[in-house]
Amino acid sequence: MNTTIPTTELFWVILVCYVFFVLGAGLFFARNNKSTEDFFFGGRRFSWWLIAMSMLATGVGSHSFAKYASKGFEYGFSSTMTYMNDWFFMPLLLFGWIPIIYYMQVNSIPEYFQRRFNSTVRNLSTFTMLLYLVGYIGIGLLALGSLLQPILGWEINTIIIVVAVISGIYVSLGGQTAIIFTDFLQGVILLFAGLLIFGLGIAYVGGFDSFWGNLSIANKLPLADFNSPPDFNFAGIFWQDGVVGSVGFAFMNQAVIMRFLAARSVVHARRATMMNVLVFLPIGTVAVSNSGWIGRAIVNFDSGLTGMYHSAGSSIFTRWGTHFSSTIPETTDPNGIFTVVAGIVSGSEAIFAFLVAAVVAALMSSLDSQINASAAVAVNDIYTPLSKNPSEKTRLRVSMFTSLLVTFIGIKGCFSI
Amino acid sequence: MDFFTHSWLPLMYQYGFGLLIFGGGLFTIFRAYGGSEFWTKHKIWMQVLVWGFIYIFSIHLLMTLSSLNNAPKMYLLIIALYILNVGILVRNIK
Repeated sequence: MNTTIPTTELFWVILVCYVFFVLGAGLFFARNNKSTEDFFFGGRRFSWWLIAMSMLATGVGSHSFAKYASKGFEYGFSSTMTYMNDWFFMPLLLFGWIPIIYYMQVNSIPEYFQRRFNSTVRNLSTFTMLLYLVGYIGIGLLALGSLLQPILGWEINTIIIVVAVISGIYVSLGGQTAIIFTDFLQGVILLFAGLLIFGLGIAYVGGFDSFWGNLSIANKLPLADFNSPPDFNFAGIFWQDGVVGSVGFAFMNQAVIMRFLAARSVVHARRATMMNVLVFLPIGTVAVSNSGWIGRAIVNFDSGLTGMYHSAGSSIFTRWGTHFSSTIPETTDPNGIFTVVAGIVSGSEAIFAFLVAAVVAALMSSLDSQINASAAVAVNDIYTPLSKNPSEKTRLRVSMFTSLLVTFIGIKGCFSI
Repeated sequence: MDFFTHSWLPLMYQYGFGLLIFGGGLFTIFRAYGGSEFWTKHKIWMQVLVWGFIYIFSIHLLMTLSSLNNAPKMYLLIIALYILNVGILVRNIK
């Protein structure tokens, strides 16, 4: 089965328009940056709805489309588990941690540790935070490269460099304001694209009844099996993701902390968090997982496993000059299921290009936040303590330069994985 | 086929431990903010926190029942619950 999509003019026009739109946003918001307060926190003036949607876009990376679609394909609806177990820590987050960091006016997690403990803890925290953030950037880039490689037919390294350079430029110019506005739009795009592929997929398999009928009971259960298999069992996911991961992401991720600090008040930060977890994340989890569920329904449909519906067998159809198989073999690599399902169910090249743009949007919206967060830690916890009272203008220039540097290190880190 | 370890056991485990973590957090902030004063000042937030727990639990419960009983129509209830949730949050949290 050939899954490489031919790159006609329409496909490229849509992708290039999207890239120029993001770069334009960076340039547009660059004029608002007069200080590092603007560059890293957008002047602390944003409403809850902007923060909430941009938080979703930050949390949903391109690796989400690959990982959760893969888990959805292998295990069904339980792929939603990791997005639906964040509420347990909300009392401590909303009324403990958010007011503490907001009213202390800290600029970074390491700075909080210095005030709470001492400079040694700050230095250790700076080191681990930068290691984590740069690693996050590298893995995100690699996931996007792997996802787009079969679509674009480019070398993975080329894809990584192109996307990282675009993200690095608009983050370096626009700072947090550009990130929040572009993440808002990218969040809307990725949610819409995720739901679009679900709708198209359900239509493709013959309606909701057919979709439902071609999934087994186990596929439709919302939580994983208690203690097996080793790589995807309930107990492991609950403690690793629901407990440790949730705390790590919401309490200690510099990019998320900066989003709280960019809110115009503590109430807006609380409201954004609450809306993100209760309203946006449930849709987000469907958006990133459903291509896997559709893929599973098609596999079961074709193999007649469910006994409800039987296909007439594999057929080959031509779309955009390329041959596709209308069936998905059981042996399909789960990591590539998003691409396979998107290629099968999207009825036009424009829709397919839009879905690809959404995956790029998912990566860029996570990448930009991590780049900005890394620069904030580097400037606030390394450059400022070492330099002798730098002017605000100098700090701003260093912040912009550091954003580019971090992007470069992320690319290097990605190549060494 | 028995789906207990794939359905009810994880559900009970998640919301059993979840209740401990959630309840512990609620109790901690209640004490830290001065008890009844916190309730007076942040009553609506406390209600939203408890509502959020019930809402997420209800979604998982309905999904489990729907799967085990082959009742896809329960997803209409989940969608209705979601819309109700959006309405409650938008109207009440200012």
